Amino acid sequence: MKLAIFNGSPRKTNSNSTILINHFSNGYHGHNHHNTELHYLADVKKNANHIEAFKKADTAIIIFPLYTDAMPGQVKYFFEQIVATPSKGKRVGFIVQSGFPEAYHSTFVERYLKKLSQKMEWDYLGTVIKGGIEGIQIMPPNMTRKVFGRFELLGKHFAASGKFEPELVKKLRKPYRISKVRLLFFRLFLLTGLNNYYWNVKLKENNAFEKRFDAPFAPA
Amino acid sequence: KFCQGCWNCWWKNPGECSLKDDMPNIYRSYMDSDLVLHYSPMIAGFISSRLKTINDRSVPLVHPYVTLVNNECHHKKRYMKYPLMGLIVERCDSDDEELEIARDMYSRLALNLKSKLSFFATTEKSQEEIIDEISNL
Repeated sequence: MKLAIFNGSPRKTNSNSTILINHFSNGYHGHNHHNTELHYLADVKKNANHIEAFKKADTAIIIFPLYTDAMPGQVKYFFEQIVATPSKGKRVGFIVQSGFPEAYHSTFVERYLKKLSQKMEWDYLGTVIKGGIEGIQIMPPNMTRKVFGRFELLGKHFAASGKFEPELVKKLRKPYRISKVRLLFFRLFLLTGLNNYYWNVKLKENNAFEKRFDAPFAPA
Repeated sequence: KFCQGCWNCWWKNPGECSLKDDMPNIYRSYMDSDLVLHYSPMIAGFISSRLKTINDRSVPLVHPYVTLVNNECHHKKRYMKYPLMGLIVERCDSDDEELEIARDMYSRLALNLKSKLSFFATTEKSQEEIIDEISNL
């Protein structure tokens, strides 16, 4: 299988998408020693290379963070170029990760990705959705071990079968929405303000904590 | 310019984008409006990447802190009041399902921007009809 991975994170190498896809690749390469190409769609100047790589690959995985309920602008730019490239039968799968914990937020762009695949007559491999990813870079290892392990397994299965393993996809999609019971705990958790921990650490690092509620464009 | 995902608008200069271009004028007139109309041709089944980039760069208008809205996680407000949103698209080669998906993604965007999608039309509608409907909002 000639696999090309397209990473659509605006933050390129320094991104949560990169962390997840690295775990996927580790799993993938444990079984398969063919070369995997990795392209960063935010390098928009290299767009011609990206299109060329997409044309040549028989399987493509496109990973991106959910940006304002859809794909980042750079990923949309890539889609605008590839629709002009006949690529019927190409195997294409997607991974969407979001900061919000619920998979539900990403199901709207999932519909788009499925529809685009149909229109392009790709062999749609599905969309893996994983929420709750913001902050993984400062989380202790015991909090991230499970999700990283699942991405490794996802890669391992992909190498063997060329597909996203349905049981893993199902697990990664949890929670789909916040259940009634969890809502209760979640409300209490919100009251503690602990959910803001990641942002507060970053705000304080930048001496911006006092300015966090600034509203510079409020009408006069 | 594309959003770089630096989050400086959330944790360095809260509410302001670090990229130097026309966005401050857009933010100012956005927050000073009652209704913001987005317009785009449908390309590859969705609004253009240029308009999508404006949406990506609207995140400084909200706060990084999360709160519950309709039992879902959403960002907290940064401003007291947000304008309503409307979307007008040129259909181009898109079918009804693509228009529906674009509209639904926009409704979600509006929810995240503390607003609601109060108007959606394609340019197949006449200008008069569009103006009429908007003035009746």
